[in-house]
Amino acid sequence: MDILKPEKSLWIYHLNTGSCNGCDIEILAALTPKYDAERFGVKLVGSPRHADIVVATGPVTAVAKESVLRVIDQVPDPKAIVVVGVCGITGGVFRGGYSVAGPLDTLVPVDVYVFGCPPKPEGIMVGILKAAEVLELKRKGNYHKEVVKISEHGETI
Amino acid sequence: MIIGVWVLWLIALFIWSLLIGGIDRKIVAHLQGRYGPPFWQDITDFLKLFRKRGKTATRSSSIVSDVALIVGIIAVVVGLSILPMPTVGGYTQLLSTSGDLIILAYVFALLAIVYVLIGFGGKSPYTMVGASREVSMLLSYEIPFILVIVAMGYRAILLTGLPVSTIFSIAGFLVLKQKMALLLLDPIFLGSFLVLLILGPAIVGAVPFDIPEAETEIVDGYGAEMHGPRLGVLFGIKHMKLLLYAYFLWTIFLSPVTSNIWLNIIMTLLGTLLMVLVIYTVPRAVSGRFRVEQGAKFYLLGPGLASIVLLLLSLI
Amino acid sequence: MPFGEIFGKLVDTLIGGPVVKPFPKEPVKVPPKWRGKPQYDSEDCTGCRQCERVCPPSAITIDDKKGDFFHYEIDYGVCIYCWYCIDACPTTALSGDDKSGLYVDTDRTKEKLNDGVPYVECPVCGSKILRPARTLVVRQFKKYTPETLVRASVCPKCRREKTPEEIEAGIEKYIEEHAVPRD
Repeated sequence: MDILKPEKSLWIYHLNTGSCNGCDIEILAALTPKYDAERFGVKLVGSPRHADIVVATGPVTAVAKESVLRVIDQVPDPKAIVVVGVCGITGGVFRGGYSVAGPLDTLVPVDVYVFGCPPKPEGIMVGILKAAEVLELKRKGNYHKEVVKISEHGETI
Repeated sequence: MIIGVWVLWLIALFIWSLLIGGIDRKIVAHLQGRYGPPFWQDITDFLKLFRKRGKTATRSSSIVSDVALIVGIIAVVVGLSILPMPTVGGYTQLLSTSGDLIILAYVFALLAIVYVLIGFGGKSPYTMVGASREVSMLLSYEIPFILVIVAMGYRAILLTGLPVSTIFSIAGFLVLKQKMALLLLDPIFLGSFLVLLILGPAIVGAVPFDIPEAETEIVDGYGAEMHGPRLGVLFGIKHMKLLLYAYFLWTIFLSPVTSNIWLNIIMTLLGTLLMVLVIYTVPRAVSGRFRVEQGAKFYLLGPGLASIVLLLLSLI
Repeated sequence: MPFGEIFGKLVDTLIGGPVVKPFPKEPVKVPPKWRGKPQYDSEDCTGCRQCERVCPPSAITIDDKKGDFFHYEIDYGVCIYCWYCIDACPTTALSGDDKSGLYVDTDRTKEKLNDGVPYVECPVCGSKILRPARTLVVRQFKKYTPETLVRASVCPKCRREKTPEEIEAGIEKYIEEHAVPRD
């Protein structure tokens, strides 16, 4: 029954960790009438405590790091984290900058990556739907993901 | 016996309120050129919230919000026990007393107070701001609301010729409906109905006046710290408040009286949906959010003055 | 905007129906000049490393010290899809004909291009040189076959120091030894 499935109701929280606003505009474009993410049950909520999915953009800047960790900690379980844009995935053009505290998946486990600079709104929608599959796996208890380990020079081990 | 039927009616109305929420989202989506979620979306949302597990903020007081939620459920149940239920041969109230119209006004004020309590219990800056915004909205729409209720009560006594001891009772309106074909033909009732329609968006928290829960400015306002099952209960209370107000407007002013119970039930359900469309869906689709002082000024100058005029006219 | 106009627009929208793109049912349609993933064709790479030099986020890493292989890697988790590398490429080794438009994955390490150019032996002296690019072979011999590839992969040192007869003899000997199909 689709009515009873929690994965049919996806409340997303949009978290900007120091992005250039390119990806943020594309996330909003995915909610506009042209793409209409709401037909999959997606709703943009204002508070992280209401959210199921965190849609994060931007490399985590040093100033934003503490706030980002606190916000993600406040999201109730089961939750999924989607990273939108290459800045959030590896740092992109800001990689190795003095004010970048590492990509998000070195701080918290990230479930879905949406590549692009910025990605297409369709890509963001597909990312959110993939996160719904991840949420279903988490509810059934057979999903496990760890924080990516990186070396001192910023390379994945 | 009647209590059992009433409990069934309560459950049916709760499911209907969630369905109304979904239908509202669907209609807004089509007004904006989208498909929108399926019409059972709010039921899915409601059930999902009970399966979430989160951490409560160390600062926020869960006792206050729990008490507030219980008070909210009680207020909804009291409101539905006063409002007439469709039965064989017309409408009957479960509890009827003189002055129950005033109790109904208190129910709506109490539901606003519930939001304020939840906001102050949250103890986060956002919930505090949301709660104080809710108080300022309450102060601006409550004055015209009470004045209109008083004007309606006096007018009903005048027209029915019931004893003065039954003043402000919904039973008076039910008697009046048997006498008059349509209540809105009376100028005082027509004026009151229009004022109550204008007050609707503020009372149910629809978009031009959803100042207390502005999600883009103060991250969902008073409910920012709620999560999981508690948020689910708050979600249900919000839906029930919307349904309660639509139900109040429909049964007092518009509902036609027939002797067929099924016709009465269907008319009530569709009538509440029509009222929700007028006071919630259409304003939500066509407008943006007002600022606090704009909302307060609008309600005190427009419906406020109109309600004073209505009260004076009803006393003459 | 006056209220009458707003309601007129609402009625227009209701009559006109939804404007939503039929996306999940039909594949994504990208505009003709849309910039997608840069694709790499190792046969056409001359190893000039211009792409590595112009890449703004350093998404392209080239390692020519790894044994017999010119190691070429594009990390699409770093790439900003600006196509500077495609503009800089002197041959057609880098191209942007990928039109899928959707790059979503649950594992970030999968979205990488790992390729490279092997080193080949000079048929005359036997030293290792980078395999010649297809464009250069075609420019010299008008066709791209195993034999012309062997003929093109004479190392610069031999071209400079040896006579044409010596080179031709070396090539013939190499073709016979390695059983390279002739044209």
